[in-house]
Formats: sequence, structure tokens, C-alpha cells
Amino acid sequence: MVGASAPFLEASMFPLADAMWSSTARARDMMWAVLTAKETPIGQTPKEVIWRKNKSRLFRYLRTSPATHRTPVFLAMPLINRADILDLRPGGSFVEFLLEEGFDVFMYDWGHWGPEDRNLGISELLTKYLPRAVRHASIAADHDVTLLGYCIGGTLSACIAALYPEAPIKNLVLFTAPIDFESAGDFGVWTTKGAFPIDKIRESLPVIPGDLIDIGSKMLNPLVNTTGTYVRLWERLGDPNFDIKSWQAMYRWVNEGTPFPGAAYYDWITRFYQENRLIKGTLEVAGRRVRLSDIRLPLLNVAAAADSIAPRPTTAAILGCVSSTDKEELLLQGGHVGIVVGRSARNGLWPRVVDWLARHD
Amino acid sequence: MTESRTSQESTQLDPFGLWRQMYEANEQVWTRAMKDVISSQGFAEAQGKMLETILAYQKVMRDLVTAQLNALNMPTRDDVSRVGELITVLEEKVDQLEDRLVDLDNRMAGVGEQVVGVGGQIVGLGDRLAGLDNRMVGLGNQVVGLGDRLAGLDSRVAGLGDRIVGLDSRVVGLGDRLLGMDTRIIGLDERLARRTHIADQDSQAHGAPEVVPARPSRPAAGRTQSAVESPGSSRTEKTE
Repeated sequence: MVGASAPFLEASMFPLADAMWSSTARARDMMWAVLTAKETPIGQTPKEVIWRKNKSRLFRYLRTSPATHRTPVFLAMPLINRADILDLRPGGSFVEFLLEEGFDVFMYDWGHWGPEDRNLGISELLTKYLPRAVRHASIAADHDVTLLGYCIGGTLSACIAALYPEAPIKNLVLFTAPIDFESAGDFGVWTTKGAFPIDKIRESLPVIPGDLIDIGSKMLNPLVNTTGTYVRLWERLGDPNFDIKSWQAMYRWVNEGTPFPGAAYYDWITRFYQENRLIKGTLEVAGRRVRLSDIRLPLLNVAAAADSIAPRPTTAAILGCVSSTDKEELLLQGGHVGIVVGRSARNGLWPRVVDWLARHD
Repeated sequence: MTESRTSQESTQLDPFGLWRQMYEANEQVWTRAMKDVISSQGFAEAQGKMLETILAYQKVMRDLVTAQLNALNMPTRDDVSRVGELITVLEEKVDQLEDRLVDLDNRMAGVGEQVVGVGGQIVGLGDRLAGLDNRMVGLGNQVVGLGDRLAGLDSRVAGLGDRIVGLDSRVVGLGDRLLGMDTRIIGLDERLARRTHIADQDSQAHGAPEVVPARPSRPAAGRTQSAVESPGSSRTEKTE
């Protein structure tokens, strides 16, 4: 033992102390970053509420100069997360990018559902909420909108486009929107009929807590999504160029899930995941059949090659179902969230989407 | 060499560095193993059972709390939710009214456009009526012109009438003169007859009588043809 420790003793004690001190300081920074993430401001682009219903709000982002494009962009956000993902931080905001490129931007935020919304099903969202928000945006802008839906917001946007051909929608853009649930990855396996207690959930929970959905998302890749998050933070804290505020903003967004109304969650699991009605054309909303073939709008489908939440087979199907003659797909390397807000999004996805929007103005 | 060893040893003494090393060494293996597990149907069923257990526990707790709140005569979360639900329903009714107002507004806008169209048609009809009016005025002018021409014709006819009357007067005058001449001729005739008679009486008194045919008497007026024969010549005069 003594012989083994001899070289250690030969070395200066100070580098070791420095290393320990540095490591401790980094651990302190990491703790600080994690614990204060909840206070990190997100969704800071100036906006005004132009319509609200229940908890949902329709925002119009304020422009400092008149829009240079005629067709405004309407962002339909997912039901299970905060709407701020597309307006996370100044410099890392898709909304800010669209404004800079001369678009009028609206965002529909579903809000934070409460137990009183237990009976709010997908039908209600598709008849009483989203179409009205689109109409109000169109009235405010005095022009038909480009409906851009992200994740579940994209799935619902596709339903709206199919249900209401007369709606004031000019173009349809889908960001990682699951359409065909035949091969829905791990979510598909977990929600299998018989294994997943959806009836008990419906009966017991008026709203599905955001934490429960968050756990489900993290379970898709448990090690990377839990321990890996902090390991990567640890590594990057040593980088002087590391933007800790952006990390905190993303951390806050990931961990602040929003509740899902019980009836809507039941519909989502049974009609979409278990019965795959949308792609089969058997989904009914308020007595009307949702036929994707009724979609004739110009369509841009954005998909992520390594998407574990909406795996590739779920996002690939839409192009073959719609009747649009003008349809295009962007398949990007990355994950469900990474392609939309990652550092590469500003140079990759966003300019390409803006280019498509400008061509379809 | 010494630096490298020092770094390695310092890492060994640094718990966070050790944690990172351990993670990096095992992450891929563990991820693969966990992926195999969580993707299986067995895991899905186990997860479902666990969820059911949690839900059952939650239900027991909720029932317990509800019973206690009821015993204390306090509103439960469900009671508050029901109030919220009622408000949401009311809001939906307001939204429906707003929808109907918007529809009405759109329809009114449509009606307004139709009214504008009808107004345009009325203006068109007005223009056509104005055109017809102008044509009527033209026709009226033409009628007035025709009236004037008729009046002119009338004047000319009146003039012709006057001239005819004048001619008639002249004819009457001529008649009168003819009558006068006739009277004078008769007078002359009578005078001639008297002189002839006197001459006869003279000849009877002085020689053989000369037979002179008697002259027929001329009517006082009228369109007659008379022949006046004077001694030594004959003349025929025709008047109308």
C-alpha cells in the first residue's frame, strides 16, 4: 500500500486539491442550474391575447414593423407540454425567427386543464376549440392562415383540415405529427388494449397529471433521459461558451408538463393508439367522419428520423393519405424535440420551413 | 506521464468524475438492455398492473378525503369542479352566440353585397329609364314639329281657302259684271228692237215691210248658253 501510494505523494498536493475544488464548484453550479431552472423565463417574445376559451388562449405576437408576408402562421401546440417550446429563449425561438422573416404569428396555447375539464374529449377540441381559434386568427389577420401543428397539435391540425375544408386555412404544416399508430413504438406497446388500464385511468383521474405523461416520455430512454441529462450538464458546465440559461429553459420546459383532460386522454389512447382510427378513416367527430383524403391543402410534413415519441412510421403515412397535389416532406436527423428547437434547428429546419412558407404565401 | 497519472488519480478521488466515468462506460450497455425490457409486452403488462395499483390507492385516498370533507360539511374538489364545469358550459353558450353573431354578420355582409348588386341594377334601370325619357322627349319634339308642320299646312290650306274665296268673289264679280253686261245687252237688244220697230213703222209708212226675226229673251242669271245675233253679224258667247 505504501509502495503504491508513493508516486501520489511525490506529486504536488495542489493539483489534486484544485481538481477536487473545481469538481465541487461544478457540482455546485449544477445544483444551482437544476434548482433555479423553474425560475428561468421562457416564452418572452412580446404577445397579446386576442381570444380565450376556458383555459386556452390565442396569442398574437407583436411586430415592430408590418409583416412582409400575407399569410400568417398559426401554431397549434401539443396538449401535453407547455406551448413555449417554439418560443423558448431569445435567439433560440422559432416564433422570433418567423417574426424576423416577416410573418404574422399566432400561437394557440391549450392552457393548464383542471378537474372541471374531465369531460372534454378530442371531439370538443376539434369542434369547439381549435377551429374557433383558427377563425379568430384569420379574422384578426384578415387573411387565411398557414396551420402549423406540432406533435399532437399536428395530429389535431390534420383532423381540422380534413373536417373543415371551408376553414380559413391556406397551407398545412405538420411537425412530427403522429398519424398512423400501427407501429407507434414503445408508446404503442405500453398502451396496448388489455395491458394499459385506460378505463381505470378515465374513471380515477379527471385530468391526467403532466408528471405521469412526463414519466412515460422519460421511460422511452430511461438512462439518457434521467441520469444522462445531468451527466451532459456536468460536462458542458466546464465549457466557457455553455449557455446555461438555454439549458435551464429546456429543462424547465421538459419538466413542466401540462395536464391532459381525462376524456381527451381516453380518446387519444383508445381511438388513436389502440384502434388507429385516423388512418383507417373511421374516426368520427361530432357525427362527422374524419377523412384525411379530404385534405387538399398544400402540405409540408416535417419528420425526425430518430423520433421515439412519434416514430418514423407514424409520421410517414400522411403523404399517402391526403389528396393534396402540392405536398412535400422534410426528414431531418434528430429527435422529436431536437429538430424543432435544437441548436441545429436555427440553421436547419427553420430556414427551410420559412422558405416553404414564402413559396406558399 | 506524471501529469496523466495525477489526473487519473484526482479523478479517482473526485466522486463526480467517477460518476461520469461510470456512466460513460455503462450507458450504452444499460440503454440497450433497458430498451429490450421496456419494449416487451411483459413490461407493458407489468407497468399496467403497477398503474392500476397506484390508481386503486389513489381512489381509496380520495374516497377517504371526500368522506371526511362531507362529514365536515366542506365542499370537495368535485364540488368545486362542478362549478367550474358550469362556468365552462356557460362560456360555451356565449361562444355559440358569438358564432351565430359572426354567421349573421357574414350573412349580413352577403345581403349587403346583394343589396349593392340590386342597387346597381336599379341604377341601370334608372339609366335605361332616363334613356327612354330622352327618347320620349325626342318623340315629343318630333310631334311638336309635326304639329308645327300641320299648323303650317293648315295656314296654307286657310290661305288657299282665302284665295278660293277671293277667286269665288272674283268669279261672282265676273258673274255680276256678266249679268250687268247681259242686262246692258238686253237693254241694247230692247233698244235695238224698239229702233227696229220704229224703223219698221217708218218703212211701213214709207215702203215695203222688212221681216226681222224676233230675239229670244235672255234669262236673268244662271249658266246658260245664249246666242245673240245682231243685225249684220253673229256672235256666240259661252259663260259659266
